Amino acid sequence: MTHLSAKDVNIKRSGRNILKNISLSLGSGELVGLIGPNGAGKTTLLKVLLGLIEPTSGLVQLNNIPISKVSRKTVASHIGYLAQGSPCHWPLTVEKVVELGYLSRGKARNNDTASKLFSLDQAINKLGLSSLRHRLVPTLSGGERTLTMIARCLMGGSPLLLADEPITGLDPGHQVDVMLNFLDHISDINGVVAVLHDLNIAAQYCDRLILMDQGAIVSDGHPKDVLTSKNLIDVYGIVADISLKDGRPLVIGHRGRGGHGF
Amino acid sequence: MIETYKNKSNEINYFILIAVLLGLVLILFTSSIFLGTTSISLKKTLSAILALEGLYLTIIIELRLPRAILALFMGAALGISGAALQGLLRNPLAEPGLIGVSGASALGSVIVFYTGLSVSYSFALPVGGMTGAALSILLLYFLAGKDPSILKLILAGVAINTLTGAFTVLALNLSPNPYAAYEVFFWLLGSLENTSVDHVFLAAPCICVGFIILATTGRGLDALTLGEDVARSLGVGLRKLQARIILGTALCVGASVSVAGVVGFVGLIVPHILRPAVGHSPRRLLIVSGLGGAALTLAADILVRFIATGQGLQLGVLTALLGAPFFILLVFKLREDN
Repeated sequence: MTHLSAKDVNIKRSGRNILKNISLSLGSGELVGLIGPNGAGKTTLLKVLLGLIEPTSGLVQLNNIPISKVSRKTVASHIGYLAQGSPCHWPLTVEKVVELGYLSRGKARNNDTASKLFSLDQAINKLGLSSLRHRLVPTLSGGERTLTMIARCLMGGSPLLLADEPITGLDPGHQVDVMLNFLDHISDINGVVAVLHDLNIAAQYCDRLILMDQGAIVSDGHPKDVLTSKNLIDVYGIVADISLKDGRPLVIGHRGRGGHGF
Repeated sequence: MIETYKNKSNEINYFILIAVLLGLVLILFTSSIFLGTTSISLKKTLSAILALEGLYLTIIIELRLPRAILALFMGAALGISGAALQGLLRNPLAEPGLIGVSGASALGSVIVFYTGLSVSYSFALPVGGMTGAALSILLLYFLAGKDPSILKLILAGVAINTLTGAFTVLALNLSPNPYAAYEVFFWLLGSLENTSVDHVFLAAPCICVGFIILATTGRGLDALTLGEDVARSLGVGLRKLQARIILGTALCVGASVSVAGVVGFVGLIVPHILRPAVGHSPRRLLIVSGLGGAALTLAADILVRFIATGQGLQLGVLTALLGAPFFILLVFKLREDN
């Protein structure tokens, strides 16, 4: 089991509070959508949870050990990371990039914490990348790049996956593709946290949403409890029609901040 | 069709590539020993070695052999340093000369030379060179910031080059002895001409250690392809990786510059040519660039013996003449890519 928690995490930079009293608990078995307007602190929160940024105050714990005390290799064997925009600075082939996932496989991993380990072929085939295997990653479309990076994470075998805007800018086909792959990854030992902007996709695929605004968590729970008209007005400044479809909210925004129509 | 071709990688089998480059280095190293203004045939070389005496043996052991060994080590050092710096900064223009590392090493050596420390302690010269190199990389990081763009990197390099150049010229200007200034000036141009066995003992161990440090940074550099955050998420200790590359480059470039002056562009040309052959993998580029750098430097050092023999064309001048058009080509390519 991988369990990641934050307790009263604050980040202050040049007098500004980027994260305010963040407390949350993440683990296996769920697909969590992290939502909120631009600049709400979602990316910063992911980096703090990964131990890439040291909080000004507060504590991030991986399996009840402060993450700053855990070696980078051990963190890597528990948490995989999909960065925003899937950067790839050299023209490596899809195969080579997926193979880089090997780096995060810890040597002395407990079998009970290990999720199913994929071989290179399995990881590539699972994401439907076999025809792109020898293509250079920078020449791929945004969607194909994201799928390549997901395959890289599967290769690493880390149970918990933190994804920063994995479907932003993708066409609907690739958006659904990525979300279904996340759902497929979820199991007793695996979990996914994804930063999302599309509220309907977030509501449809995630069982839990965390809504952030100005560095603080506004709401954390089931989509129908998070996507309320009050929250949407307060956080996004949109007046919205919210209907329920199969128990999940469907949001149609009407008016933006300042009362201008869409 | 053209599209699919362009999207494919032109990778060559890694081990075949290494074997070919090793063969090339071996041929050039041997050629370097018996090619020169005093022509010594292979037969004479062999008989001189077998007889263990004579003028030819003296030429070979005291002049040609140290020169060939230094060309080999220096080339390997510059090649792998270029590849490592490019991997660390994720930028094909990061070359020890262009970003000011060689200039700073030269300044370090010049300072040691002028303070007279090099007379009392022979190892002070490479230590000065290495200190200069390490300081310049730290300064580069400070100026260009993390994840530097090409523009920031080049600007920072220009700033460091200008700074170290100004101080080096100042040292030449204030030199009490014009003959010493002349000597330093020629040494700065980069040459292996007057090197001896002492130079080998001075530079080779530092370069060996530096080379090994750089050669073991491959996994981290591969991971860095995906950006600093992802690399760290994959378990790479970034600070440690940076420190190792700074130390390794300082040892390699500092030691090379302090014995043979500034031989530029090797670290730019060699990784650039070989990168497609290793499928752009920063890890595989390391050793291969070391071998390629050794081959290029050996070849250039043989060439300078035959061009303008009377004038004594300096090695650094030749590599600059070869490298500058290459640099221009690279700028054109980057412009196209953007």
